[in-house]
Amino acid sequence: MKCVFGIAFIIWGNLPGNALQLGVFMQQAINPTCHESDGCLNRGYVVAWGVGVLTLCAFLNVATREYVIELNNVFAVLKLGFVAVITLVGIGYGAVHGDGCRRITWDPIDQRDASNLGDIALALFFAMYPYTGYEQPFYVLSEVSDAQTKFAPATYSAMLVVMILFPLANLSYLCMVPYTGNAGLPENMALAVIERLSGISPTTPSGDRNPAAVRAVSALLAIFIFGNLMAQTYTASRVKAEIAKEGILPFSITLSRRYETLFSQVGRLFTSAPQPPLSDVEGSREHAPFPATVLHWTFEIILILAFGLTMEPPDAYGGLTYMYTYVIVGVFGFLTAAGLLYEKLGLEPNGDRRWSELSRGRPWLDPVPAVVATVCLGFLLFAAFAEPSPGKGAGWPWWVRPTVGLGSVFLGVLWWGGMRFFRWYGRWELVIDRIPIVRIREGVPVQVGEVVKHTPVAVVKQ
Amino acid sequence: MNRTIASGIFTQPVNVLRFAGSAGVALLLWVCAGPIVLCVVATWMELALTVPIHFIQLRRGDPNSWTRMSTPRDGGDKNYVRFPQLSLLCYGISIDVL
Repeated sequence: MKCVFGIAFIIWGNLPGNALQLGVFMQQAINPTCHESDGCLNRGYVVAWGVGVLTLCAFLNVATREYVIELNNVFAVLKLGFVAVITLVGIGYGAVHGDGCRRITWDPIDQRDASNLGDIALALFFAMYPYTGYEQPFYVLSEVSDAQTKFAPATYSAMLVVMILFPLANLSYLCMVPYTGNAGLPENMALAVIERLSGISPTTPSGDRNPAAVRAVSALLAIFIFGNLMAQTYTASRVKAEIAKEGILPFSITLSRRYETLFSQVGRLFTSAPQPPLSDVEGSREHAPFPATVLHWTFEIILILAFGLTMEPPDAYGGLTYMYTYVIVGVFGFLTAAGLLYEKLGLEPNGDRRWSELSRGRPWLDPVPAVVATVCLGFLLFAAFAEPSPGKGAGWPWWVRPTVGLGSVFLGVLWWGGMRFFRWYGRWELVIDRIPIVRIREGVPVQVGEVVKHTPVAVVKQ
Repeated sequence: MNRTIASGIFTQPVNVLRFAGSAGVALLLWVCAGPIVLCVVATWMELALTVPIHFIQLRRGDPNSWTRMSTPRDGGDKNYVRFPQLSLLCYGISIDVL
């Protein structure tokens, strides 16, 4: 299972799709009259923006830790404020002008746009994607000040906020820019809303559009995505260092190492105060996983080049975000929820203690969340193989994306088999010693670090 | 929150509308997607606060102070996804915690 998770996460645990979208927004900020459907967005420039911003995020990740966290908080407040404002303005506009909100119907306006099971499964995956991101603090849980009493309420509160805000934001979009069928869909709802607010209707010729509003919002959205990429680089590089500790990758120990951040090294040159040793994991020295950041960056660049140079930006973005949602949220979410349910039902012997006695942080209505997550994600993983309606799919044939997603999971099984064969053939085994470093914070133990030693040992044939 | 709000809420509504085929169904899917993800978050939260479980010596030199305690750690679902061999409990030995 370590290989299955490790390999799939190394491949898909990044956001090159968002980096491409940043490239699209930057190109639109430069040339506001250009639209994705016009084909005037130069694919090479979009990819170049993506590669540039991913490289900048990787550099910041190894340069500083403290400032990245502070920037993260600033971005969170700004983004929440922007979505809240656009939601209120949209609903207010709809209430005053009174046309868009009333045009929301259950039935398709054009029967050619009617949906089937495959369409709904895809649509639900796309709707789930913006809610993801919840997993990021779990990846760096030892850095959370009080996991038991503060982390859970904060995470649930953030989820409840977006659960209310996102549907309302969509209601606002539809009030401002009524859905008239797939033929009239804008490329970006936020931009369409801003255009409508600045007095531009869908029938306004491109040349008559006010570029200032589009330019400003495009730049703002690009900055938002930059914040998102920075957060993902911070956490995903640390997860990759954790994966390396499992001894399933070449040069595992090297990939799992953390080094003092560049800013911390520079800062040390200008202070005479005694510094704690590098072994002090909670000391004042900042650490970052340099080799794992390079690994993270390498796969991001491979994906952005592979998708960005072979597809139009909207198709590449849709493909990459779908793969992230299918594998990271769908497959691993299903395995996690199903595994927990298996424990709750008492199917796994745990010696003398039951799961209910061991469990901390049992949710409200337990075990309903585990049942709902298992059933819904399991259904979606299979429903993804249902064919969508003709003309709705873009880029790859409908079956390619879930097949590639499951294939990347199966690649982990192959990797495990190859690793076992390689070691059997060479008559050696890897002995992994892991000593957790635990600190008690406010009465709660937290594993803040780990001493890991990998020792190849020869296997003597009896 | 910074990681959650990014391109998705601005660009995915178009994809959801295209495949849903109607504004009402698209809104319903947005309403359904949140609770599904919330349920996944709840399973992560329970596991995050529970595993791994270590034997911890609370007072150095006191052999009677060893106790089994949940010890949150980094790694997210790397620590949770062990299906079907669900030996979720890592009985490691930890010392020097005070």
